[in-house]
This record gives sequence, C-alpha cells and structure tokens, in this order.
Amino acid sequence: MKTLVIGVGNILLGDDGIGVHAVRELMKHQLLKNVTVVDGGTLGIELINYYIGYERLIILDALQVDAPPGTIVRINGVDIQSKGFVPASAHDSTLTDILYFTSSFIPLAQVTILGVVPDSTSFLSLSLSECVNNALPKLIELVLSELVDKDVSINS
Amino acid sequence: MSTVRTNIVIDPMTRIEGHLKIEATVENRKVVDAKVGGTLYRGFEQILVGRNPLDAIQITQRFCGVCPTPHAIASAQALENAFGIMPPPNGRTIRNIMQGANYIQSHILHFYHLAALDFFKGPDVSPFVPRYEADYRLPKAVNDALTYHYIRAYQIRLKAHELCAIWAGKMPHIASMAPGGVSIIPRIDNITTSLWRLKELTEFIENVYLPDVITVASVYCDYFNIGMGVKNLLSFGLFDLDAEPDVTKRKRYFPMGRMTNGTIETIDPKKITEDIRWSWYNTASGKNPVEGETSPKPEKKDAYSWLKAPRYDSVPYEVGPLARVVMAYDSKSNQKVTKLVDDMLATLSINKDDLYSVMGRHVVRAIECKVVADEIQDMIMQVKLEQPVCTDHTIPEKAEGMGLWCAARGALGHWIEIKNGKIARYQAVVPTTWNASPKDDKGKPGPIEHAMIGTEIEDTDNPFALARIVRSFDPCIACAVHVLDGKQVKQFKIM
Repeated sequence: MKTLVIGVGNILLGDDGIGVHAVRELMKHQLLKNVTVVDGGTLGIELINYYIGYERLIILDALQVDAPPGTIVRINGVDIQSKGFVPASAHDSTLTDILYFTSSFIPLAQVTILGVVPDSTSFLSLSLSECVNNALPKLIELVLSELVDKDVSINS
Repeated sequence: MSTVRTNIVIDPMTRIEGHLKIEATVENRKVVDAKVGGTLYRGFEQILVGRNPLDAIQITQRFCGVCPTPHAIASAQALENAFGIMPPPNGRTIRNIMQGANYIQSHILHFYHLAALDFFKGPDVSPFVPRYEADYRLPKAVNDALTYHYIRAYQIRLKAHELCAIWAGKMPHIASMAPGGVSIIPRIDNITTSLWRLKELTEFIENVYLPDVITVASVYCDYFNIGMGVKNLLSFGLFDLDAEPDVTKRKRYFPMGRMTNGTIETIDPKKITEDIRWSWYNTASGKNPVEGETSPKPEKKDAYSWLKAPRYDSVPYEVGPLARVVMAYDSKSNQKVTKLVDDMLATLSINKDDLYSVMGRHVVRAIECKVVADEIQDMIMQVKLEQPVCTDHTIPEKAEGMGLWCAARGALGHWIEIKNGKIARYQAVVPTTWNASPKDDKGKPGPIEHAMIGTEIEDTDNPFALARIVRSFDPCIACAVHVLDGKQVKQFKIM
C-alpha cells in the first residue's frame, strides 16, 4: 500500500512542531520503499501536492482536544469535517479544510491522523515541552504499528 | 437628483501576496476616488545598514517567498555594479534559467490560485468561501474543469520550483546566488533533470493555462474595457544576453524601456523618484533611491500607505508582464511575442489597446509564460559544463551600486551604498510599489488607483469588479502556527 507519513507544524513554536519532530525521528528508521516520510512543515495549502497519489496518509500534528497535554489522539479521516473557518488569506488554510476540499475533487487516500495535545504553541521555542516530548516514543511506536497493520515490514 | 455617495473598504484584500487595503468612493454607481494602501511595514532597509554587503543577497530575498529569485539577482547585480565585475556567460545563463523557472511558477500561481477564482466558482468550502456571490458566468463543466486545474496547478508549480532549485540549491530563497555569478557547478544531470521538468511545464502552459485564459477571456470579454491602466509602461528588461557593465545599455531578451503616449523611450535611472506625501514616512519627498531614506512615521496624518509613490519624471508607470510584452510587441523586437500576441488578438477579436485592461493583463501574462518557457529551454542547452560560473570579487571600502531587473510582477531596482566595507544605505523599489503606489505629491493616483477610478459598481456590497481590477495587477506586498483544531473532529480515540 503506497503510504505517506507526513508531519506538519512549525518547529519554531514549541509543541506545534511535534509532527515534524516525529517524522525526523521516523526518518532514522529503515522503512520499505512504499512508505514515504515527509516533513510538511508549514506548507499550508501547498500540502495538496502530498495528498495526491497515495493510497494511505498518516498525518502527524499537534491537536487541540479536551485532554491533558501529551495525550496522543487518533482520528479517522472520515471523521473530519470542515467547520467553515474563515481564513484571512490562503496562508491560514487549515489542514482539515485542505483535505476536505481536495477530497471533493480527487479521491483521497485513506487518512489517519495521529495527534498529540500540545502544552504550549504560543512562544518561540525549538524544543518540545516535557510532557509532549515524553509522548514522542509512543507516537513513533504507534506510527510503526499502523504501518505493520498494513503489511509494511519495518526494520528499525 | 441627489448624489448617492458610498465608501467601499476591502481590508484585507485577499488572494494577493501580502497586506493591502482598498478603499473606493462611489458616487452614483461610479468610483470617483480610490486609495490603495500597503498595511505592512517592511523595514528591510534598516536591517541591512551596517552589515556585510554580501548579506544583502540573502536578506533581500526574504522580502517575499514568491519572488526571492529576482531579489537575489537584483541584489547581486547591485553588488557587481559596486564591485566593478560582471558574471561570465555561464553564470549569466544559469541566472536566467532560475529566473525563468520563477516566472513560470509565479504566473501560474497568479492565474490559478489568486485571480481565476474571481471568474470560476471554487467549491463551497473554506478557503473558497466567503466570496462575492455574483457574476459567475462559466457553465458547470467548464467551471469544474477549472477547479480541477486549480489543484493540478499546485503540482505543476512544484515542478517549476524544482526546476529553479536544480540550479538554486533550494526554493524559495535560493542558495547559489553570488556577486559575480552563481556558485553552482553545472553537471549533465542538472541539464537533463531541468529539461524533463520544463517539458511538463510547457505542456501545461500550452494545453491548460493558455486555453483556460482564452476561455475565461472570451466569457468575460467586457473586462477588456474595465480596469484600464495609465498606459505608461515601464520595464527594466529580462534575461541578460551580454556582459555590458552599464545596465541601461545591456542587451536583454525583453528590452529595458518605457512607453508613454505610444512611444518607446530609454530609461535614465536618475529620473526615478519616490514621493511620500501620502505614505507613513517623514523623510524628504521626491528623492532618487540613490539618496533615498526609510524613516517610518506611523502616526502621520492623512497618510494611508507603507508604500512610497515611485514616479519616473514625475509620472506614474504601470509595470509587469503588460509592460514587457507590449513593448516587445510594439518594438517588433521579438518575433515570437509578435506572433503570439497577434494570434491572441485575432482569437479574441480584440485590439492591442484592449490589452491595457483586467483581462488584457491576464492574457499577456499567459503569453509571457509561454515565451519564457521556450526561451529557457534554449538557455538550458547553452549551459557549458566545466566553464566558469563566477567572477572573483573584493569588497571595496567605498562604492555605490545599482541593480535593475524585472520580477514576474514588474520592474525591480536595488540600490546599495558601501562605506568602510559595510552597507551604509540600501533601497529597493519593488514592482508593486509602482503599481499599488499611493497618490504622489501632486495628487496623481497610482496605477491601480487609476484603474479603479471610473469603474461602475452596481452593488456596493458586492464590489467584485474592484477585486478583479486589483488582482489583475498581481500585487505582491506573509506565516503562522497551524494547530489542528479538535472542534473540527466528530470522533477521536485517546491512545
């Protein structure tokens, strides 16, 4: 199964960069050729380029839900809806909106989001907060097990 | 009859690069006054003072992520002018290729991702809504095709970025620019990987971009009479073809020049001045960039823009693809441009004068995209392996330099003054400063303001015509934290 693992977020803003920190960690693992690992950074709407052409997408991001910081959350793509957020510019387009409108024109891959509830995303910091950093090994483990589930063998 | 007077404010003006505010005074359904204001202070000029001159090439690229390439080139040319050096043929050619790739990227970006949504209706989801819900004329099948091309254009732009990065090291904000040329040593795989990307780009331009522009132009043909420009055109030219040190005499593929009253004339850079009567600055008005200053005064009364008002010999000029293509066409200096423009005029049954309009700007930009793609194909084949790419330099204690070039959006000038081996003064006059300039000291409006005045507005709550006019100029005057919001999720599972 042609799979893309993409981490998104801004590494300058502390826990917002968890997705990128995770893919950097994943890149140290030897994965099969049908798995692509991408640092999606803050590409915003240009992420469209990475959503097309895969059978499966695993998106890693910071995720704000009502749970303590460091909690890891799994979402199935079908549970994502556009909330009609009004962006001031295309720079503000959210990941969910991009997935939503792209899927109305092009059949999208099966989407899974693995998110970590951030502690702080409002201060300039290159490092993760302690609780989010502690969640990183488990996040990697979960990504790898998602890949194993789909007959992708892994050599770490 | 009493006069009905309404003020329209669009702030922020979206689907452009950067931060722009549009104000129009409408009387009896007609725009009688317009104000275009840049709402973001840049201040790069101050950042540069006191630094090593070589830093300018990297720092000025951060003006913008869409056109870092022309800033790198204009900055390197200003340094070369100050150092008294010129790049070798290979360095010149590689710069042209990088710039060409950036033009293709930028023109496709502008049409599909910024302007075309004024004419086709995107899906009813963010970021396509809210929008002015009026005057969408395309049949559903055409509209759907354009929406699909909107997504396809992202993939194509990635290819254009890659084409630039093959020579630039990375995009945006290129790494291989140096005073005296470039720092990349060309290899055969640079050439081959460029050619297949260019082939894909050319196919898109010919089979998708140009036909889409023709489709939109034929359905919205009234826009060949809306947003008429000042008809003064100015271009610093594009693609260096020789190593003449005097930039005003250098041979360029698109020539340097200006057009007033239908006559093409030469450019004397000393006649470029910037007025600040309506800008948030407190320095002297009417200075040439050689002695220009940047001293902000945000509390200045009556001012409405962070942009200064550049003028040539006290006259406003429109810059951009329209200036480059119309002057190449009128001077009959470029057979390919002549043929493409003639064919386009015939296809759409329009006159050359109709090009000074909203739709004219779109049509001409697409023509230029095709011409540039063809030209860089030849340039890629001119790259010589194992030939020098850069001329050595020494940084003088005291010198002045000027780099005049054309970004996709128009004429771009960088001016540097070096004292004690450091930057003592740096001034940049960028394309949108010309096009989106506020009024000058004499009260004469800038080109976009001029194009807005006289426009008929039927519904002041839906001033889509104004948005179409402003976007046709491709104004470029932006980044953030993106946290996924749990409120957009119906169900989740804690792991």
